[in-house]
Amino acid sequence: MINNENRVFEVNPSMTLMEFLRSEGYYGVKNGCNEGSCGSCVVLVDDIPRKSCIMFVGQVQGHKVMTIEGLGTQENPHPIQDEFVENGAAQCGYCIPGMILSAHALLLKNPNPNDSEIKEAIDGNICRCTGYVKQIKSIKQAAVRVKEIKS
Amino acid sequence: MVNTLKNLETHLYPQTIEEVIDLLQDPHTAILAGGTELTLERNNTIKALIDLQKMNLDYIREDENYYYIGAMTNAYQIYTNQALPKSLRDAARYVGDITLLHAVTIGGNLAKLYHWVDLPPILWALDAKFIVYTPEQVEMNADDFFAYSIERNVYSRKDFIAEIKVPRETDRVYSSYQCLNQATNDKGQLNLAFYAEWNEDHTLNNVKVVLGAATRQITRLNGIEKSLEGKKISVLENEITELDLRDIDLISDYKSSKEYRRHILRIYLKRAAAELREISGVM
Repeated sequence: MINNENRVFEVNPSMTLMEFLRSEGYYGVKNGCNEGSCGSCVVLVDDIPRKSCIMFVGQVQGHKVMTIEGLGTQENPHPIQDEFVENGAAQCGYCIPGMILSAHALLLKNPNPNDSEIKEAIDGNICRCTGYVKQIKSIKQAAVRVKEIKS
Repeated sequence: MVNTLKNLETHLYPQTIEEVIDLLQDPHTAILAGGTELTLERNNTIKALIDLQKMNLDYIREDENYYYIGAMTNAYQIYTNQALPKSLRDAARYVGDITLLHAVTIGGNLAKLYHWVDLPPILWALDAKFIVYTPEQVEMNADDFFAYSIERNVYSRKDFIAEIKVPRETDRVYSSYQCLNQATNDKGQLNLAFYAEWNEDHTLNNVKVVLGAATRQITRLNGIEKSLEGKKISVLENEITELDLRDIDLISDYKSSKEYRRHILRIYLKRAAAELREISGVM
């Protein structure tokens, strides 16, 4: 299942999950280091953040995959996406899809994270443009909004 | 497309140990635990991946004597399990960032026994037991397991690690894991696992010191262990200051010289001794 849609594919088993998703048009999955270091390829597998460049596509057979395309749209962004825009938390933007998905995974299991919990959750998402300050602020503000929506 | 395993034809999902053992007889198969290494490995001989995700080997159980950790348990599960020894949880955190912790499995860390991996040194110091299929099921103690594993080329191994048994810590026991690295995802430059028990008179026994990353392979430092055995906790830091560490065959590379690593080793030993003194209540 990709972004809540059941899909069946015939795939080359030597492809990584990142290569496969990009070949299917999920371009929000970014190819950065291609060796599991930078985090720009992070997707959620069963709501857990995983680096898709170091997973074989066969590892997600029967699992639920979410890419940034499944979180929100330009017309209806998720609160995390909205707060990143409001706070100007992106510069080049390459790391942002992975970072937002890591933040989303955090808020799914911890709706009220403190700064150190946010830092730990995004410690695998390297941003070379900013200093993480606005991103951490955005995630904190998004947490409040997500809680409000749920209540 | 990088396509590191160029001749890979199929991805298999066995559900029983018997199936895994049977599949391993084919020289063109490889076990896929977390995948973090195999996706980066350029290997044209592998035609089938044996994915262990349906084997129900991701568990942490306990009884009065042991914690039982399935080989597919990932570093995040270990890091966040408050029942496990703190030293083991600390080692799990050093594996990498949070996304890597979700990917790296304890079995994979043990099977690919690189000199810088984090979980094996502390498992050795904690005297863990290993259930391995060679293909016969055997339970190996830590010394035997690491001697067996280091002896074999990691790429040619065809055995299968199923479970790790970690002894429960009793009273008057101390263990710790320290790692010198420069970032969460940086491979360690020196990993030190330390374990010791103490008697009522505050003398040490059963000292285990395991060094990783600073030597060509994970190494138990028998000489240091002998030097500390039977010593009073109150004098341990002084004993460590006097230890001759020149016999340890440390590596030099672009990250650290062997002299620097030797210096850090002594500091980490003294930190362990200081923490041990504090925990044991010795002034």
